[in-house]
Amino acid sequence: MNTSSKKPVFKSADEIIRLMLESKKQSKIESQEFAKTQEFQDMLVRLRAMKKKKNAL
Amino acid sequence: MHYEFEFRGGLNNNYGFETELGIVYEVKFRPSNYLFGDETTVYANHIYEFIIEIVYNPLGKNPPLDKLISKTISEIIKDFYYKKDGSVCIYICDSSDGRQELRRRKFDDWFYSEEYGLIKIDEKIRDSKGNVYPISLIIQRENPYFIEIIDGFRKIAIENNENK
Repeated sequence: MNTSSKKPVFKSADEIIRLMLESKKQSKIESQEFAKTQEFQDMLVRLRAMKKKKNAL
Repeated sequence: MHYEFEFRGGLNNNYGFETELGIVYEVKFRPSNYLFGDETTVYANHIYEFIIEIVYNPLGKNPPLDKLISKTISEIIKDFYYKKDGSVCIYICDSSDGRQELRRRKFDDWFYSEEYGLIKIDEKIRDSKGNVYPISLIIQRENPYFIEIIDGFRKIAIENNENK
């Protein structure tokens, strides 16, 4: 682990909670966007192929 | 036994898996160096927010209980700690709809399914309006900053709760 040279910036509980909840909202948006992509479809193909392979063993 | 999952990587360390009913989940470990309130600690860049999302749900209603989901998430957590040794994960339960205890129980179920040399510590953090958010930390027993991290985590909860 590297040490940091930044100055300490202490955050309050309100700030921490706000940042975490914003992060969750942003994450939800990203997941919804991801579901519309070809990358998502490709992932499903790979997951189903893995499942098929496992079941065949 | 668990569902097959895929590590997609990216900034948020995304994982994906699909259940028997065709529900697709994403599990993310989002870098969150601010979570202990001080971004300058030596371990700040190893702190991640744990998030689980439903990406696609063909049922159109809340998914039924599926024990394989817990096992899959446990495997994902194990895989993440294997990939990112020294990581610290935080899970916060959103309290905006009053279902925070349900979320905590689900998270407990995911974590307690298996043991991987990991420890979970539960706390509660309170905002200035008095809303209480259950918050959990997952850390490896061998983390070199174990004591400092636990101390930092407890301080967030204790100091903020005492001030209300």
